[in-house]
Amino acid sequence: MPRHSSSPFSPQPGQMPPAPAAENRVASHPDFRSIRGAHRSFGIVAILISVGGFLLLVLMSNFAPGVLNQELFGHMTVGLVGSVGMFGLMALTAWRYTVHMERRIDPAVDRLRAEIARDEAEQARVQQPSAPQQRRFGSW
Amino acid sequence: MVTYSEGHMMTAAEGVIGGTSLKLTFVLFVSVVVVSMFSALITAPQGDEISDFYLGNRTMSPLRNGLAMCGDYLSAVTLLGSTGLVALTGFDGLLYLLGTVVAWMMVLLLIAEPLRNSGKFTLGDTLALRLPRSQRSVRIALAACTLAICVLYIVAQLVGSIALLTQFIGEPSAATRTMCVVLIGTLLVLYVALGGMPGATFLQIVKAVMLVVGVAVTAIIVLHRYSWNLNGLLGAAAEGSGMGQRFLEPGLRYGGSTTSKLDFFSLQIAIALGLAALPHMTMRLLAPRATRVLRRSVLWATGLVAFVCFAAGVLGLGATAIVGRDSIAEVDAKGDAAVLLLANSIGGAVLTALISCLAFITLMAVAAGLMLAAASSLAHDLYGEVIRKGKASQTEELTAARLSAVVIGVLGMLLALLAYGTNTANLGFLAFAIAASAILPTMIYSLFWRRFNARGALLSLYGGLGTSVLLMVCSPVVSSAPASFYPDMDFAFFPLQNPGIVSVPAGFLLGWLGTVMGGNEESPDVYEKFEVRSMLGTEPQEEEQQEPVGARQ
Repeated sequence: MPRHSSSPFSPQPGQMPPAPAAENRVASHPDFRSIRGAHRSFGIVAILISVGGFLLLVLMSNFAPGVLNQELFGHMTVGLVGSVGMFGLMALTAWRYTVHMERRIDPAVDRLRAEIARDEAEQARVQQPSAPQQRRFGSW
Repeated sequence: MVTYSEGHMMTAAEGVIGGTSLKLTFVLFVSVVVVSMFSALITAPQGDEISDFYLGNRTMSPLRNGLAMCGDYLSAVTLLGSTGLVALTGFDGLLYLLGTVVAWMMVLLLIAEPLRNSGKFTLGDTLALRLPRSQRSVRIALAACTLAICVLYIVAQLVGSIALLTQFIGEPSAATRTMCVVLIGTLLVLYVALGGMPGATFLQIVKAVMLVVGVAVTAIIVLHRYSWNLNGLLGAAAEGSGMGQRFLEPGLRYGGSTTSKLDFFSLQIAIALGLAALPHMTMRLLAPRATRVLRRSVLWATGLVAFVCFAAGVLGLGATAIVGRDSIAEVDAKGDAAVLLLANSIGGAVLTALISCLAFITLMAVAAGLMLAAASSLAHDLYGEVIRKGKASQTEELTAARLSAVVIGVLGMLLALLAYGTNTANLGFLAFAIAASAILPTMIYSLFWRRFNARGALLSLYGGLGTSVLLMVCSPVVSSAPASFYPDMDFAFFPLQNPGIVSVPAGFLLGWLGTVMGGNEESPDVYEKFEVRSMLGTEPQEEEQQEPVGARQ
């Protein structure tokens, strides 16, 4: 595990108090990078499907109504079936999102968080005097 | 957003709904107000803890959080405006309802968890964490946008309450109008100034439960009448519309011209993107203490929002099928009476009273959420962080928040009385356009773009706000058309009524431009830390979560 090189004992004048080095080190942790990537790519795909599908429906209703007006059965047209289908699509997206977060993201988040906590505890032991200042977000 | 604000155009002299349901509605409304006001007072923040005022009870269950989110999210327009739109324009109205649900998906998928992880009380805190060097100017810009959105939306809700009153007593006199606005406005101020977030939350939950139950009961009666056959309902609606299958095809709402099509598309963009960025929604997302509670809350809200929107579609079709399109349009040209007429014809006085009381409570609950968001922004961002530079004590900030609520309430009431009689539906749409083109770009960029800097944030906030307002001023809403504020003048060079199609790309573009122009860079550490925080949350909160439930109640 790479050691953080700069952990000043007191903030230098004119600068913000030093960030907890643990957090900055986590940012380059391979686990963190991989869950960040996974989170983003899932989010983008899911948004494209749900919002994109909806905007496609709106655009088609404006500029290609003929496609939406084909009757499928009874009074149901392609457009109506598509609208009801959007509800199903969104339910599917929400379900996939939960599964994705629980299986893929949450375990890694717990692991990284535990790592930060361990680092901070270690740091607090090493440098007793400045320990309280390390907890920048403590009051939040 | 109140599309039924033109209720005063109604022809009926003595209102649609008769005496018995008027009395019932009044009794129901007063009892809900009394009960929720009492619980607002009981649950009100006791000490000077500012976080209690902004965030309320942070250990609520996911279901209750989800109900409160759903209550914040669905305004009276979904209940009355959208159903009326479905009743009058069929397919186009259904698309509009679908847009409401799609917008919520944005919250679930993209915004909720990172925002909650990196936030504190307001969106300004998230931006301050992301852009610490220029946090004061960014907070000022954000507060300006928040105020503009909230005041516009509150005015739209207050004018909506007059329009709703019109359904009962016919065209109200000036004194009745003033009384209605002052009464609702004062109740709002009391809820927010005294109750803070706990009071607003209770009101939201009451409203959400009433909303879900109300639309479910009505939709069940409608579906039962057509023996649970969706096709039968569609057929009856097509017949009741007097235009046959044409009713179920797109294009009724805005006719055929390209301008009107673009206008509709523009409105859809503003709704699908703007709803997610409304200040009271982003504030509500910060309340749950743990990220996983937030996720379950947002999922509950997704289900509830989808259910209400689906049921609202059934109600709209049912109104056309049972009441008939012509009778609806005759009472109110915008169709806002559709649900009330439907309730009156299938459920009699009791159902009518339930639905109309629900409409009043919905108006109030949404306006209360907005007022709280505006007051928090004024007190926390402007007073606490910018004017007092973070040195204000919690008591001072709390006083500032309560006073801000009063100021915003009075401002909203005055504007609502002035704006009455003009085309206020567009005030609500303008609020969405500002949210989509000023707040959303800043929010998305700061969450996901490493290089984003303060200049980009300022440009997209002020630029989005300015573009939306300017385009609205130069549109047919303000001049040149018979229904505009100044029908005799003509400075409407922008042909659309909804600025979204131009202002949303403009907001994103300005944010990008400001960032690549450079200057005022943050140190790279800041984004890394922010990113870790927005992915992982803060670990102290997880620790606190371990404390026994109820310890903070």
